Amino acid sequence: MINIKELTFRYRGRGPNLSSSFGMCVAEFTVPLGASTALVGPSGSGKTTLLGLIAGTLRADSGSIHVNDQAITDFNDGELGRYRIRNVGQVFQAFELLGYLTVIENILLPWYISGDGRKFDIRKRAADLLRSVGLDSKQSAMPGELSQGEQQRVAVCRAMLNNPPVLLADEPTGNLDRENKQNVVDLLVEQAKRNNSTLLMVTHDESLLDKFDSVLDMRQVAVPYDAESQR
Amino acid sequence: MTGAMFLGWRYLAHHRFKSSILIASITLMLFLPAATRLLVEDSATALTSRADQTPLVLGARGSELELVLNTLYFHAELPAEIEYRTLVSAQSRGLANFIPIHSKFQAQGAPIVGTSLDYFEFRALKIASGRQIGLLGECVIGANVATRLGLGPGDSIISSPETVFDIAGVYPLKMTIAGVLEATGTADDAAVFVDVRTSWIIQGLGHGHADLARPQAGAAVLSRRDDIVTANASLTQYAEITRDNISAFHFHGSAESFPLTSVIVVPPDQKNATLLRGRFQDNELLQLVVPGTVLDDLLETVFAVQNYVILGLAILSFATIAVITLVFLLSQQLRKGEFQTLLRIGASRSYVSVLIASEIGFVFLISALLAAGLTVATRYYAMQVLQTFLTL
Amino acid sequence: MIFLRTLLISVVLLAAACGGDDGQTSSASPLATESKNTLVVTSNYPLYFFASRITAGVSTAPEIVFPDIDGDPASWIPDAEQIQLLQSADVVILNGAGAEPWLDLITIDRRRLLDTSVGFTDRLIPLEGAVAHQHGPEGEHSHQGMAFTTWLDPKLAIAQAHVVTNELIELAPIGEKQFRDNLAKLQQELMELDSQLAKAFTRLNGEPVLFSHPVYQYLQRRYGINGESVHWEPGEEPTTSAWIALQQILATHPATIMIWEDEPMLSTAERLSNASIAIVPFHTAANRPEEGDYFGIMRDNVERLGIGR
Repeated sequence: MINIKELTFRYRGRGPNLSSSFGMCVAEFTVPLGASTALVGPSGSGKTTLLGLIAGTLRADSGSIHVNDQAITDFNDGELGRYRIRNVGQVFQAFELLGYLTVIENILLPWYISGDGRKFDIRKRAADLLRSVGLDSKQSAMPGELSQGEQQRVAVCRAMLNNPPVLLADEPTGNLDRENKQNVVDLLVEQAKRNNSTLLMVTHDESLLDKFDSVLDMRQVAVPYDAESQR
Repeated sequence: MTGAMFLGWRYLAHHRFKSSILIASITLMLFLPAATRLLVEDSATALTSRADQTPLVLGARGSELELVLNTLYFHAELPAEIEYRTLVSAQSRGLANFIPIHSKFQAQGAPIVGTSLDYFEFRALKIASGRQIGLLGECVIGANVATRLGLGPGDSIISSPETVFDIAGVYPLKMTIAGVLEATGTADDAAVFVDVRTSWIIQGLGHGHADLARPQAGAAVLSRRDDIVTANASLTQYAEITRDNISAFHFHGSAESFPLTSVIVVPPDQKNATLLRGRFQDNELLQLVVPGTVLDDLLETVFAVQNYVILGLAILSFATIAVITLVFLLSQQLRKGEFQTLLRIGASRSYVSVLIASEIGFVFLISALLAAGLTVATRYYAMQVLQTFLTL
Repeated sequence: MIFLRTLLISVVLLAAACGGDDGQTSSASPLATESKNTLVVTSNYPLYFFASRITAGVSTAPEIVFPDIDGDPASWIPDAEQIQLLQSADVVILNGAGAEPWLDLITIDRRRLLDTSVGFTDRLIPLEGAVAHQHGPEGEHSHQGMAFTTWLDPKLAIAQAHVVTNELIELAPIGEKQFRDNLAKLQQELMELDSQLAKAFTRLNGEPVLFSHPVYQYLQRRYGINGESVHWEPGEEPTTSAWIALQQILATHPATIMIWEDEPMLSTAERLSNASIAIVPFHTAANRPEEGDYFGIMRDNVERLGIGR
């Protein structure tokens, strides 16, 4: 379960005028464990920021974020890194595979970072994941040799390597064609369900919304940061 | 952090071209000064070692360096010649052993060294195959000559004519190879050794021809008067000494007037050496030099040049390091997105630092290993390179 | 257990390796020295005979070797093996007087050469009939030199034996007394030979004698033989011009005896016999005989001189 309470966050601007920075406040936000939720809303409403706060790549200025009973707002940088690698799987719009690693090595990237688990077991899991997305024959291929849809499927496998309880996807279908969009979302939902992970996916595509358990409008989750009221 | 090192290694392996250029640059940067120093030190050691093993050299007054280089390394630059009587006269005083050296000619690119059996004992040269020189006209060749020309005992080697167009000049002599010497890693490996009288024959001071006293001499006889026979120019001289014609070989004139390029002098002790040096000190025609002293002067210059070369290489290294640093910095700039991905996935900043450091480390490690390997190879082949250089 | 066993074996092997050298050193007596076998090579048979007689019975004497030479040592050109023998010798005893023309043809350490006739160069006999030749700017020169059969004059042979003895004493000082005793005996025998030869040649009474080959100069001088030499080989038929030349010699030198190095061909012997010239073989003993020794050969020569007379 993901639970956010009385959270404020503000990006720091470059000038001394802090009121010009983007910020948001979240009074209360909860996503049940194992649920798949689509996050919608206009640009600038804080969707990516919310994902960043949940992933721990952004720090809240105040408030609390609990992910499966872990108060991540209390973590230091090192703890946040370990929390992220073990608990959060992320899929990005631009796939963000490393071009100098093979497909299987890209999937193993979280293990290269954490070192958790036995090599044999992890390699087997990676191979199983790749097989489950129909790319078993592409183990030794380089990302540049794959189509966009295939690259995103590899990214999904990477996100799922450590069996993360939380799966965050920020517009993962943004660069894909219609057919691949459907396939990738189906894959995300299926993997989340199989793993009992909580899936939170940002999307602008309304045709994909019925694949999720629920849809959240960001305008209902967060309000813009008000410097005056905070003072 | 082994994961970070693995990622660093994979990055380098994937970008082979860039990695190779970096490695090559650093390898050269490390290897060149080391190789320069190695070659200079090895050449100095080789020069001084051989020079230190040679107590004294006697020759015509003139350039000491030329005399020493020709005597020790059979250098093509010839000192002025001295007469064999110098050796005979000096030997008669019993102060040292005098070893003749006549190194004037070449045979297929190898210097021909006319000497005595004492030379082989002096230089501790051993026969690897075949036997020692026996008859006039035979030779023993150094190990490198045998390898280079594919020759062995029983084969022949021909002395090179001094000039093709000089009809009255030095004729080539076909010499039978009696033996091949063991390799010593010195200039002796690249030489052809003959009895000094054979080298005089090559010079034309001795030769073989049909017996003019016999009636069979025929057309070669210009005139017979009393007991004197004069030959004409059609008299054929033997170009090879064999057991059948060796008796026909003879010298014209007294051997004491025949030339040597130098004499190696081996006194039994320092006292005799000092006496000898005193005897030749004021001699206007001859000089007795200590090879080690002569080469020390040469080496001082060599080391001075070496220092300048290494200084230049050091400056170049700084420039190389600056460029390499720039390359790494630019690379990090270009890979910002990749590092962000790693951080977002969960890598710590120190993880990314280790990744970058391992890339730099691998490049330097490989370069260092290559430089070390090249240095070892240079050390191994240095002597052969130096010998070729010193005997040219 | 395995570890201990391995350790024990290693210790034993190590001890054996270290102890081996010590064992050899400790068993060798400090006073026992291994004497190097000095090698002396002679250039002809008479010198070999003299050296062997001088060193007889001396256990510390050098080894005396005379190479196997086919034919006349004066025209010998050593083969590769023989050159190696000469090169490896500590001393090469030479007759000198030009008896070893091969010396100029080989490579050898000249300091190891011992010329036994260098002490009487004033008594050497130059060869007659040397032909000089010239070509090129070097001018004339001759190929012949001195007569070299010095050992045919027992007096000169004694002088040579003395030189050999002195050298042997240098090489093996321990044997000096024995060497000198042996030399005295040899000298005695050479003196006796000298008397016998003198007696034999005295009976000629100045009668003209022919020599088949110019190798008897020292014999001729020693015993005042009235001799003329031709240049005939025992195994070769003299040419017609050779016979004519002989006739010309006989016209002024009516010899009835011809001294030969060896028995001539039957045809030659017959023809000489027809010319009333008796053949007297006188072996020069330059090379090793198949049977007998130097004195045996010379006594046979003396005997034949008597018969021939």
